[in-house]
Amino acid sequence: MKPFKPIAIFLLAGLAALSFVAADLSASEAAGDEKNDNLLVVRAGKIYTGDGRVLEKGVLVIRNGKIVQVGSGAIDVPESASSISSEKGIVTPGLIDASSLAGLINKYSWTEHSSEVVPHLRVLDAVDLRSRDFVHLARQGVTTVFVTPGSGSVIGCRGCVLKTAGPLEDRVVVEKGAVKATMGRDSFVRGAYNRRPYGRSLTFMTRRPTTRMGVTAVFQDAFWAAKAHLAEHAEKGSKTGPADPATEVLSGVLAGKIPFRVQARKDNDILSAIRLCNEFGIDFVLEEAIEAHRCLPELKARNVPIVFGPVYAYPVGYRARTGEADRSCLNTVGLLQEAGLRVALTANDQTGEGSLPHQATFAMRGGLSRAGAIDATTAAPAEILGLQDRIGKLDTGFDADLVVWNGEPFAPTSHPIIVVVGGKPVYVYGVTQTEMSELGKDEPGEK
Amino acid sequence: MMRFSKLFLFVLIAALVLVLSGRAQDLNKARADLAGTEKVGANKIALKAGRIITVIDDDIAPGVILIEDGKIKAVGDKDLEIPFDFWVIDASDKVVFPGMVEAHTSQGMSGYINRTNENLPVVPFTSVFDGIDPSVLYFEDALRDGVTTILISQGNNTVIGGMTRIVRPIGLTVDEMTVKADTGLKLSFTPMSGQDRLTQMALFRETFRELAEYKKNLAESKYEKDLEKKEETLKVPPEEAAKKGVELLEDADFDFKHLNLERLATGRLPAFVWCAEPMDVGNAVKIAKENGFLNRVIFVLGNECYKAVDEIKATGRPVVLESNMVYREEDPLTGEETEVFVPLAFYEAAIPFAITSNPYDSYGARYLWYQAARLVRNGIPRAEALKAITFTAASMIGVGNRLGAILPNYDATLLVLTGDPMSIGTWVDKVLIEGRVVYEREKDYRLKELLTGKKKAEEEEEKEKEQKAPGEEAPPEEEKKTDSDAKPGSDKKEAVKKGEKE
Repeated sequence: MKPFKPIAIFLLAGLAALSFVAADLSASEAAGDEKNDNLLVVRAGKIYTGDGRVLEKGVLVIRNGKIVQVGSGAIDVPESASSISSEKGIVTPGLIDASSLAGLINKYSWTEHSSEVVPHLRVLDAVDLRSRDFVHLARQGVTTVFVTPGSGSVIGCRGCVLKTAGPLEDRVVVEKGAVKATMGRDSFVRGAYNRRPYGRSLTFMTRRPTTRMGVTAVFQDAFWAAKAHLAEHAEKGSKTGPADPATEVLSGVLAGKIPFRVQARKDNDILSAIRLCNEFGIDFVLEEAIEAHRCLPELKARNVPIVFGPVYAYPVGYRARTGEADRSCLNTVGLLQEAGLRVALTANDQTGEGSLPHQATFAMRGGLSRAGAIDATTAAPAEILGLQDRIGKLDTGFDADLVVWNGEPFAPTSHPIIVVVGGKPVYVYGVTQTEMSELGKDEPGEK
Repeated sequence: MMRFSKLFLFVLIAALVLVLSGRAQDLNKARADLAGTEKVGANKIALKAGRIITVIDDDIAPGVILIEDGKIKAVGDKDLEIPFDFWVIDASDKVVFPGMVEAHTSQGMSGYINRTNENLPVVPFTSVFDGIDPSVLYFEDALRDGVTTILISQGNNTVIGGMTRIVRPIGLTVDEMTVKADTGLKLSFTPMSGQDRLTQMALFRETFRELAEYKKNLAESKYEKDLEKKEETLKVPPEEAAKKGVELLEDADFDFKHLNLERLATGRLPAFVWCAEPMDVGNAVKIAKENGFLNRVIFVLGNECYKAVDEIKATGRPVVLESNMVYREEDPLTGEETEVFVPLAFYEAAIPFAITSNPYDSYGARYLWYQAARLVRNGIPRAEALKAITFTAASMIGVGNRLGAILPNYDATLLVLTGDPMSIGTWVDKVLIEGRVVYEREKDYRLKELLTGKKKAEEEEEKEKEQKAPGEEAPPEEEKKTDSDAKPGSDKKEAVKKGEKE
């Protein structure tokens, strides 16, 4: 078994130019000690652990894809361990995008048209795990994404949490994630573009709401049904008749078993979300939240976690056509953090140059601190996804997802030099994807 | 009586001017607010800088720039003596950088009325002069983002487009904005929408053939007229008359439809040549060579054109690159994806290149400084990256002798930045265009709105509330006083400092 030999070759090839990184991943082959298999040590000039700590000359020990030790300075490490060490490199946890459209086969319209209330559907069914989006995101240092459901239904489907790299069988972290509802115009201007139902005239009684009032009515209707179902269940216990699948899921939301999100852009829609969720006693996460800075007291009163993004001054692309996106603020994340709210940044539909690290760059330009930016891209989204014990921090027991940057993270001139997911390097600066995919494979004719 | 009519005339003219300028004033109120900060009588300025990034030479830290009549008179370190009559701007904790140069853009004339493309395919007689809208927000943003020199060109959806023009983002008329007029024609070798390459090329050939025909006839008749003037009779056949007449031709003899083409074909006009795909480069080189303007070509390239880097290198001409800068291609057989950072290919081939910004790309791509930082991130040396947004860009559009660097005798078109041009928290603090302070961040309320999320009115309302809150029965006099004292200063600085954190 020589799992790391090709890695060493490629790392050395790829990093020859980056003199400050020395990678020696071939050591494990000498060991032959089963225990030390998959042992990886990462040493870097600085480690941001994601929980606010900064370790100068930090060391991370990773075994079998999990972090087993975090420290700084001299740490005893078995000689047989593979290592990545970079004196000038800076390590952060792998970035987490809590509201991404990555991998969706049709980015702007993946709304199920059979009903306005479809929480029993799963967005995972519309995701292509082999999509290039994930490769591009991994290159930018994004290691986990929550693929958010479409905003074309009042109560949309359930999102999923995915790793952006690693073996396909390990990619899906959460299959049935949060249910997403949408306030505002999206449910009547996107998706089916409010086509007339076949043979019938268009009113919100037939299929689609056509106003914000209609959206509210559909939302309430669905939850009243769920409430009735729960009440019936409380009365009759196991004798309760089966409800329709959507109502079953919404009952789970009401009971607090299934996380719930609401997408709202404008301030009045954010207030509607708060009002409706108060009515039914649901805890929710606010998504997009372009005008969240205008409802700080209301959000604070209810302590709503927020997934905000992207950062922009003037809306472009489909967002510009929503008619809900023209009152942006460059420092929303900073203002929300200052108000003591839990806020995660997202790049949403943007990959490549608009992706999460660059969102952090511009949030920082708007006034967010670097510590705040790291929190909003690691620990906060992990918490919002309910995965605070698994990802988003570099601590013992956490997934070994990390990024080694060539300079301070999120500086305009910084880029990832190594991205590790599940204890394995998935991207090395200057190494192509095909070469990377050869990594970890045994050499032909070896066995 | 005479006196009365004079007065009347004056009033009439004044009223007319007021009425006519009313609309423009409305549109430009915000920009006028920014631009109206010119210091009266300050034609001699000494700019004390913490660091001067000259772009061409080494940085000077700390340094002094002496400005007289809009030109840089001297650049030196802190020992450079400041004459007594110079108005001193103290930027000793700041960085001075040349105004950034946008080498090719179609912004500034987009809008509902002002489209960027003419319907006809061959329109060398048009000019962006007629399409530039001084009141569009783009120019205000350009100032805010430190772009002081903008070459505006027609869009790409044409064959032979109109005349380009270099403007500065200040002024209420295009004339006022103009840095240099007639800076070249726009040519598109990538077919216009709905048209194929064959037709596109045929239109080029036909246009130049028709020009030759027109020129021949013109020369012939000019020669004839010349003889008539000398009271001689025509003795040579028409062919020879045309040949002889060519030397007599002047620009004034050409009609407006042919003049710019003639100037192009005689190498007197630069050509901004748009090629979206590598195969267009070959076509462009061929047509340019045949018609004698290859040595005036500036390539405006789509990302894929990095594949034609050798052909471009052979022409020795500079290139303007797309704002997106990353080219991705999937091998249809293996499914393997290659990703190329386009400017790197041109840098490695030692071809002079400029980069552009575009607000419709990613958010960062709207800033030229950020685009330069992307170059550094992808392996291009910092000095070269800074040149790509200043000196190289200015040189290729023909103003490299007065813009794009901090050198004596150059225009005093400078930025005072709060920090290094490539770091996150750096803001444009002041903009000087030809020695005039035309932008000051502390007066930029729109930027403040973007950073605080509060409209000007809302902020004032809040301030009023705050002032009223502590002593409810505050005497009205005091209230009045605080109102008038509430200058945009103290509060703003705080917001600005937040931005500086990084």
